[in-house]
Amino acid sequence: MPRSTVSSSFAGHRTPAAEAEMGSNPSSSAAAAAESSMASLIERATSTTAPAVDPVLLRAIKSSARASDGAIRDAFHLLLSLMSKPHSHVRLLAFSVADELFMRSKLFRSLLTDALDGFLPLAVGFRRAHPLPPPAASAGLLRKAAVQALERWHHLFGAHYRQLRLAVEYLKVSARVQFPGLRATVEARAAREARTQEILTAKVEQLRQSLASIKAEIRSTMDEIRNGLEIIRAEYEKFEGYVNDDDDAEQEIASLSMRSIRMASLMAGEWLPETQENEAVFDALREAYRLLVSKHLVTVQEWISVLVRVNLQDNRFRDSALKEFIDVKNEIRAVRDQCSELGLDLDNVRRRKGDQEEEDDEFWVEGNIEAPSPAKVQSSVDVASTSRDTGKGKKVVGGVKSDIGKAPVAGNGTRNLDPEKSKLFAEAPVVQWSSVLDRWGSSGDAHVNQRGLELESHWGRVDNDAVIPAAKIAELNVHSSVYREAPVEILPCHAPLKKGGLCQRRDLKVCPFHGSIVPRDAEGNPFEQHSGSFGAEVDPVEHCDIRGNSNELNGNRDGDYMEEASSSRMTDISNDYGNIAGTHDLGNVTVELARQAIKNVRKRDMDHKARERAQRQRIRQHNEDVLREAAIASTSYSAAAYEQPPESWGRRGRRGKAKAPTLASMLKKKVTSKDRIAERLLNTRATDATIREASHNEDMSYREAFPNQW
Amino acid sequence: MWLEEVRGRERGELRARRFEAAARARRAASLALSNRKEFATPHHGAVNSLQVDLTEGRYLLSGASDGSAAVFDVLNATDCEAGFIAKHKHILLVDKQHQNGHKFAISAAVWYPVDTGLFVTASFDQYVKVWDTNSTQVVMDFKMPGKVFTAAMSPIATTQMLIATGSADVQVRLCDIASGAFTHTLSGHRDGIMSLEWSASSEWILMSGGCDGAIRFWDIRRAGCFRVLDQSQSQLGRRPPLLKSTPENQDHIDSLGHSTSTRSSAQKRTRNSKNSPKLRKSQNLTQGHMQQRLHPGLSSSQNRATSHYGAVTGLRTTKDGMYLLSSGSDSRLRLWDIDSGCNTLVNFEAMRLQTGKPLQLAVTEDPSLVFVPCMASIKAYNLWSGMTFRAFRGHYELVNCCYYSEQDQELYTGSNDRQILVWSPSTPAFTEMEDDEKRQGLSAADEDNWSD
Repeated sequence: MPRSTVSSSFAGHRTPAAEAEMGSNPSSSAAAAAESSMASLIERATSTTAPAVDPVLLRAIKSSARASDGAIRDAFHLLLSLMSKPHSHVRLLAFSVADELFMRSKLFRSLLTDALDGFLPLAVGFRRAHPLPPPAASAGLLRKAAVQALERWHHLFGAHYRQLRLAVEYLKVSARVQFPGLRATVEARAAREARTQEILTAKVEQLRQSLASIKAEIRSTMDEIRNGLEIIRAEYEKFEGYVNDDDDAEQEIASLSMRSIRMASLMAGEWLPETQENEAVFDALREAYRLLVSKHLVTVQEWISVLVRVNLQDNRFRDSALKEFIDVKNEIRAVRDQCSELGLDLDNVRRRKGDQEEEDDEFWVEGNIEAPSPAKVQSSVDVASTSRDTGKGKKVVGGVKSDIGKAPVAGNGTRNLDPEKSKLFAEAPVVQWSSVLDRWGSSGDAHVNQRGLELESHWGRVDNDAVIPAAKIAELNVHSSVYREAPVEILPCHAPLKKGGLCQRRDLKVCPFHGSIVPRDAEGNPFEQHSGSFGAEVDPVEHCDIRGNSNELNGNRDGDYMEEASSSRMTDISNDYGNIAGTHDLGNVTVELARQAIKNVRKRDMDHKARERAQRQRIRQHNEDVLREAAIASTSYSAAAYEQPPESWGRRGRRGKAKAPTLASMLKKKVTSKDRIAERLLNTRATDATIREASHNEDMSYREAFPNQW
Repeated sequence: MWLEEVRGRERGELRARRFEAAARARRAASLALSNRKEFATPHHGAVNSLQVDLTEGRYLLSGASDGSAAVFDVLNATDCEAGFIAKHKHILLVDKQHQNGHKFAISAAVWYPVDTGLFVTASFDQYVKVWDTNSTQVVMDFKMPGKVFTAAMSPIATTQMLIATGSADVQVRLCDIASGAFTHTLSGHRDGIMSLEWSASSEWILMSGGCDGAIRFWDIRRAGCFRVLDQSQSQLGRRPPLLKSTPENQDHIDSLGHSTSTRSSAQKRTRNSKNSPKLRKSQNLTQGHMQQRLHPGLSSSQNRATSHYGAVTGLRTTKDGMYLLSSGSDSRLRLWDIDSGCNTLVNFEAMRLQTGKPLQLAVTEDPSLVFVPCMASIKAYNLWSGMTFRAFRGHYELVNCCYYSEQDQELYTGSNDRQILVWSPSTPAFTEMEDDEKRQGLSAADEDNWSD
């Protein structure tokens, strides 16, 4: 059987000896000469590092393989042995040769398909235990090429070789190798295309019938809108005249600024305010507009896309319909632009509508709830009337609406205008948010059960009428805050650096590199030095003044410390100047003046220090006060912190019971009846035990005393 | 050669049976992966068991690791691909979705031998279930004490309908369909039972192979096991023919392949056979007597005999019921003479077998070829010489089972790659002719195509 030789000659595990044996196969004896050439050709073709087999060599291989079956057998065995080499590039080249032969020779196909279960793992490397050998790039190429080739083989010869079908199914389903599936995707796409075309042609057929009606509908809507706009325009012209004529008549617009804003907006939008008489026109217009934009425009666009995509034999209808639709679309666009120019846009319409509905809903709900209570008949009737008379309701809402619209504009004005309020604002303390704000300003009692829910507490019965007295609440609400100093901004040193730029160190008084911190200009030159350079000629008093000013500036910016520092420094400097002035042989007057200035400065300095001390005193005082208050008001931790004698608390608690219980008293342990019983039980037990022991002892002594009498 | 035989038959030179046997043998020898017939597998796991029903020879029952069992029509294809590829889809499927389906892998699926109205599945979920084929409902189930590795029904039984089951438990249990109870628990093995085979000649004899490496014979009418096969107790070659040694048989023994021992054994054999059959009979008698006496406990040495180093993974008797083939996890195939209980010492060529799973072997009806699943391939060995006849490659993963259909001379194999492959007799020239007729230019012709 020829098959036995085929099946026994199996991939990879073949030795050169076996190779030789196969080579000396009698069937290939005829091609003995060709064999060596075939072997050498394949060896040469697969021993390069080139990315693909040399086409000349490949042609030679093919021609020699075509010559005889023996050559093909030899090529097959040689290729199989090459495929088992531990080098992916060799495998890749061998595989490409095998692919060429597979596509051409039937014998090669039958040989390869019989050995396919050994061949495929070598080419695709799907077995975990035997991945493709090292050159990773070649391995990737090999896998890709193998999978593609297998798919091609399967497509062409799958019907003839069960092994191919099996291999493809196994790789797809069990090994989960991704097939490029080019053919499948192309086919699927074609099928999808055909299906969509079918649908599109059906749609076009439908359109053929309904085209006229669609167009008529759209036209009518657009006409409606145009008519509405005409009416409004006519009214607007009237209105313009009205506005120009009697300005004063508009009583409801109070302030001049408001009126000007309103006028400006009206002029910009060329917009006519909606009033009761033109309301119907507006409603119709809105309706038509919405219809046009949300329905007609969309349908027209859909139809255009359908017509663009459809493929018909007869394109005349398509072209004409397309043209018409594009015209209609442009028309719709024009109308829409016109509307938006007039300020009538869809969002606006929708919002108004939404508000209205919301309001209506609320009214309705309220009416429902209030209706059964007989005490409020009056109000319920009132509500009912509003909800019934929608027109009136709408108007009310509109009024509210406009008010709200004005509010933000007016708000700034009033805030600025009201000096009393602004003063109060300035004075008002900033309080952190807490539950205190909940009852801000109220001085009544509060229910313990605030929510008013009827809850059966498992801790016991709930007293629903329990009330927290106002005094207690005030006590609870005492607000403590610790004084915080305003944050001080530390200025950077700003001395010029050698490498350019300014020193960015922020030190309080002295920069470790550039000495004390002085205010400097943009280039880093200190103001003092700058002034000092020509200060010799200038009046020292003036100097002092300048310095004083700068000092103040400094103080304002840097806070107290800076002020102190700079001022002390400045006295030195001014002393120097004094000396300099003296040496410079100037008049006595100037010396006097200088001294006076120094004195002034020192005095101011003293003042400063005193003020500062007073300030600190105040702060300390404030903090202490606050802390004490807090301690008195609140709980035990403050008591512990201030080590108040416990008996005072006890006294307070006992005496306070009559008046008002305090928080601290709650912390005191209460002696309950349970405790008392427990104590008593314990005592009785103890006495029992002592009695028993005593009697036992007595007994024992009795027994000892009279051993034979018991 | 084929034509000569036909002519010989026409002339009456060839007897009908011989002609038939020759035809069958030829077909069996030409098995190859069938391109004309394929089963579309509905299984999502390894195919563990295959059996064609014994009455019609038409329905293939397969059991798989995903807990599904399917029935295929072997004769009539459900549809055709490309004009000539017959595709057999399952005509019945019970899987986990079925309300009574098995939870875990099905390890064995066997037909009720009398008709196709019932089949039995054994599963790792410790149940053996009996199914009604027509309503695909469970008729009866038996709870086992462990994973069930195998189940078997006697193909020749007329008085009993017992399902022999081997599980991870040491006892072989016989389940009675009639009563729904265990009628027997056969204890003797020291480990789980991987394979079971009913005798083909006596409906009372059951053979079991365990993970302890022992093959035990049970007579279900009597208590205890009556024989333990011992691999060291051997007889050389085939059992001498009872009447007279025909020249063919001589040839066969000569062709056994052993160089020196064959000669001597052949001589011995001929001498033996030339000796009066009385001697043999007496030998047999004494043996039988000893056996009789020994039976209840068996001597301890005999009781500990093993037939394989490692588990016995597969058992198969020949159709005539005279020989037993066993495969073990020691990658050995042994041929036993059932009558004497001896190892025939047929040296099957090197093979590598799966170790952890029951294997299903197949034997042709004239015991000439045995098909053994060897890892990812199936090997056909000559039963008497042990020579490798063919290797069938096509599966991509380990093969678990094979079944040889005597009626069509087809081989069905099931593997871990979920496929059930059909290996059918191929006569290339003939099929090509048919292909040419049937092909409708659908796909490229399978011909040489040298463009340059």
